Amino acid sequence: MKKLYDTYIKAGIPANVVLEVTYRCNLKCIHCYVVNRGENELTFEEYSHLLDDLNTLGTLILTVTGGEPLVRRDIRDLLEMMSEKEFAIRLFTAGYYIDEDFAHFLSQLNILEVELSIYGSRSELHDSITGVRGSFDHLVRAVKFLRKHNIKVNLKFIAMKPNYRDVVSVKELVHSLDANFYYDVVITPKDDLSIDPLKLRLDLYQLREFYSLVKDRPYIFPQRDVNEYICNAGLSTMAISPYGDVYPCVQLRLLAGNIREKSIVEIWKKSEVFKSLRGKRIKDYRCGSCPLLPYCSPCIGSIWLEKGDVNGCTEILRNRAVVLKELADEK
Amino acid sequence: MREEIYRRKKGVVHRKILDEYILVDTREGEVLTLNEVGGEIWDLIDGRRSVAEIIRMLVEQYEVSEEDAEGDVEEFLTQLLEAGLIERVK
Repeated sequence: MKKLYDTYIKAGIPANVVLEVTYRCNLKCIHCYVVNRGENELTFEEYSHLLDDLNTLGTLILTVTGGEPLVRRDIRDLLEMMSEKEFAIRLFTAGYYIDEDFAHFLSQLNILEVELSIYGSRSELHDSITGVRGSFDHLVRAVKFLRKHNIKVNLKFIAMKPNYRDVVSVKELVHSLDANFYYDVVITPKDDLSIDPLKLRLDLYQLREFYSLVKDRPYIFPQRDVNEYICNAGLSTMAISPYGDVYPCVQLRLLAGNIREKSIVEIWKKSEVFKSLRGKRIKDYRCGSCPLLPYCSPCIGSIWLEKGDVNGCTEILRNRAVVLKELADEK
Repeated sequence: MREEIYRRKKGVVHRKILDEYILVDTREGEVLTLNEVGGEIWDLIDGRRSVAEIIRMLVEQYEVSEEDAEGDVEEFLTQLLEAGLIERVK
């Protein structure tokens, strides 16, 4: 996949476009960054035009997310249309609404993978994070149906204060479900810049404990050359909100335009927000001179959300890099 | 093989980017890159044209001998078949 993204960056084309098709959700996750503004969501017809434009640009992958995408009444029609227009689809969902019939439906489409979040190995813990009783059972059921229909499933564990010690059991459960296990420790502020979720973050000591529990080496970040781009946002990816707002990514909420006012082709090619990102390399950010860079995967979106500036660092990124460096030094 | 007809498998999507054809097999999560000629053959594998027709079109377009084109097309189709990207219709 890296070569694919490199080719797209060279061509100046978005390989992967994140479509936040709704901000509505049936769950109430304690760490969620999404803020539902309740505005008019893009219609099926608007998505149809958008997909035609993205096809013209050369986009290959659509990441469909939310909120919970499956609460949209026309979600089947939308996914079907994406497949018919020859896009590869990544679907991010909590799985609550995936039954056998829906899993079968997905198996007929160009689904690259389905990604779901898991917050614990037992219902009490998982449901206490999502705020909805029964969400764990629905999640497990969804994964079983998806795997039965040979759909690739990624289960991502979001490590927070209330659940990080459960990671070993979660990993075992994920493998027993024949799914891929991932984890993340980066909790960000909400889209309205509220910092409430940050209290859930692991501190330095908890991060050490977490990584010692994960045991298998945390993924090693690829060696970064400071002349490379810092990330793909605005270079080979972008995100489009349910209201048509266009951003470099779901965290870097710098408004590049709205597709109800301008075509996505024009926004992608002419927006100053995108041009500015394309003009910078790692060395142009503070990260470029940071001694922890080899142990870090800098995320300017999460930095911007928390600090109001892409040029900085956050406690969680720094602490994670510190722990990963300690682990590397131990070897 | 000349009378056989193939089609692209469902779930394989592609785009032409710069001079390359990028194929993604969504079922396997595999990414494959084809050069321009490979991409053109890929476009011609439509479930209607026979292998002989594909060879003829390439001979016309690239002014290569029929013998060379036949060898290249058959080798390419065999690779695509082995990779599970196309299937035989007839």
